[in-house]
Amino acid sequence: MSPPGRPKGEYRKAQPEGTPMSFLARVFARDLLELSRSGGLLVLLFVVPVLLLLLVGHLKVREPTLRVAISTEAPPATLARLRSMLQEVSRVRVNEWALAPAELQRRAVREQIDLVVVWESDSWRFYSPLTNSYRLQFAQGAAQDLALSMQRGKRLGEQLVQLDELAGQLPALDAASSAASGPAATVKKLQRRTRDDAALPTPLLRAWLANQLTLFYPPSSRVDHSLVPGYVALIAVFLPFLIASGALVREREAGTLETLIMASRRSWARLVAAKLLLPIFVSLLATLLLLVAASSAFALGIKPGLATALGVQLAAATISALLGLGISTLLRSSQDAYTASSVYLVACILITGLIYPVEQAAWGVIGVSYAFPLTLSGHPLEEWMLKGTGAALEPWRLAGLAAQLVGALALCALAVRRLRRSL
Amino acid sequence: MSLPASTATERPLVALHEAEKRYGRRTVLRIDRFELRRGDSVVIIGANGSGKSTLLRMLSGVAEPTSGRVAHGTDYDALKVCFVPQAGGLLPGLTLTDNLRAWQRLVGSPGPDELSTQWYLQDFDLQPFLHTRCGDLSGGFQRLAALACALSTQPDGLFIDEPLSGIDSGHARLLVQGLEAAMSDLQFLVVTDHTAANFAKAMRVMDLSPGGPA
Repeated sequence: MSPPGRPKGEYRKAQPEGTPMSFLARVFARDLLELSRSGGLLVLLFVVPVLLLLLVGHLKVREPTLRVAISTEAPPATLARLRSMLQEVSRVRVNEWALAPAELQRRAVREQIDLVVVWESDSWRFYSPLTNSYRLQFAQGAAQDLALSMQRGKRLGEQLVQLDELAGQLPALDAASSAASGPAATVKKLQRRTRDDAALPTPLLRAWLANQLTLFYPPSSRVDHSLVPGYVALIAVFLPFLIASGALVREREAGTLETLIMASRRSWARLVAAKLLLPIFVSLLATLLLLVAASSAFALGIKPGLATALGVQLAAATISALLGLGISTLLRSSQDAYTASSVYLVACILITGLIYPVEQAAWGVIGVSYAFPLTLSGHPLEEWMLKGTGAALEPWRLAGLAAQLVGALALCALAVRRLRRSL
Repeated sequence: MSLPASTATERPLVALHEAEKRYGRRTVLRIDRFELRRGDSVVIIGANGSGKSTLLRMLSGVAEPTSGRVAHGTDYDALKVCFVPQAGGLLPGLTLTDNLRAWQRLVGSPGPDELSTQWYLQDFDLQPFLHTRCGDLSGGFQRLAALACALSTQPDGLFIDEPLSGIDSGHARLLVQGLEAAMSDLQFLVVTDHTAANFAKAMRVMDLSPGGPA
């Protein structure tokens, strides 16, 4: 007897043969359906990060330090003397780069260096990286005076800007100050005196002001550090890890992993590839939303273009998703997955250069930091969003991302192999 | 332990040869030889912890043996096979309708156009719950819903781990009747249970209890 509603022979009707790609698409559609049915999760993944970005964008740091780059291609004794002189000057941060002058200039523009010092023709040459035509030459012995002048020039420049702003706010008083008294007159007097004082290091002062006005992007922000690019890069790597770390463990908990294995024709490679799609898709969509929000709210555009920026974040997201999926094979519950994601988030914040640069850390810390994709993907985004148009993606970062991808693939394969044996 | 050989003469879909499964140092199953062929309906019985689920998982290909060999023939790979685990099998955040469609899409089956008229939904009294989140169903209905999802994919072969677990006697009887009737369209059916009495029409019985009939 055939049960009602199920005519005999019904099973044999159209049975499309599954191809690897269609299996990936089917799993992706299933995961997307599950995600789309959870309104709360959609808000947490796509709306809350944008709201946070709008808050984070208002956190800025204006660094008063004068940044100086020194070419180390100079006689050691001379270099040591200049170094010691500059070290005595507070509020001067020195970067030492072993680069030829032309390359030094390009990097100085990229990193918004205020002044560049190179050793040419047996003397130190100082120039603004922005205006190459504007060069100063000082005798070696005058370097100390110059360093002190730089500091003084900056201070005077700040005073001038403040006084100019103050004068602009007092037009009515200015008109009424014909009796050469009152606040506007005082401000004018102070302006005049400050300009006289500033006349001593005028070239340096002008160079510094020019940098202030033109190098920062957007010019109106005049910030040295903004968390927005780092935040975007952080979300781009955290979301795929969060989703992928729960991907397999949730299937195990729900008893649906067996269905997936059978549907993949027992091909774990296809299964892993399929489970990577949703984390990467969510990451790309969230990153796109954040970049649009950053551009709209804070005028933080992407100089090399959206495709390039998303390409780098895609690579980082894929690595993160692979790490998350590998972790997912080792965990026993969703709670474990959330804990692992929290640890990953804290590690990303602390040791990838998001807050403190890792370059000056111990070798061990640097080594650990380069196991995280954010270490390589965050910096380019910061350069593209905050700094000059000369910012380019260094090839070694791309090579690093490629190496991380290979490493994450290998780790994921080992972890999946372990899971297969434990089932 | 050696299992009774199938009466069919064609190449086996799945063949186990000296397959052993260990978790750590604990051996949970050792099978000298077993073959699954087209037309087989097998019920695997045994006490708790006797390795019924493990054998089912190895036969289906979900699990691999620690040692020995499990060979899945090309004929098996061409079939549309579903595995219904002892617990779960559903996406709890989705409605029953979504789960049915998700299973069908995943397996690559178009599925029936009209879900509500299908026998498994009628017999299992699941029609009122088509738009209910599966996580909100009772344990028994979740079990029936998972079975309904597997049946809705119109599979060629079915592995079901303890299908009657947690189901009341009325629904259990209807489920057994439905599976027996479905065998006319299935290439094979393998289920596990604590007793062979529930599946009296099964062609082969495999008893994994110590000293059980080989």
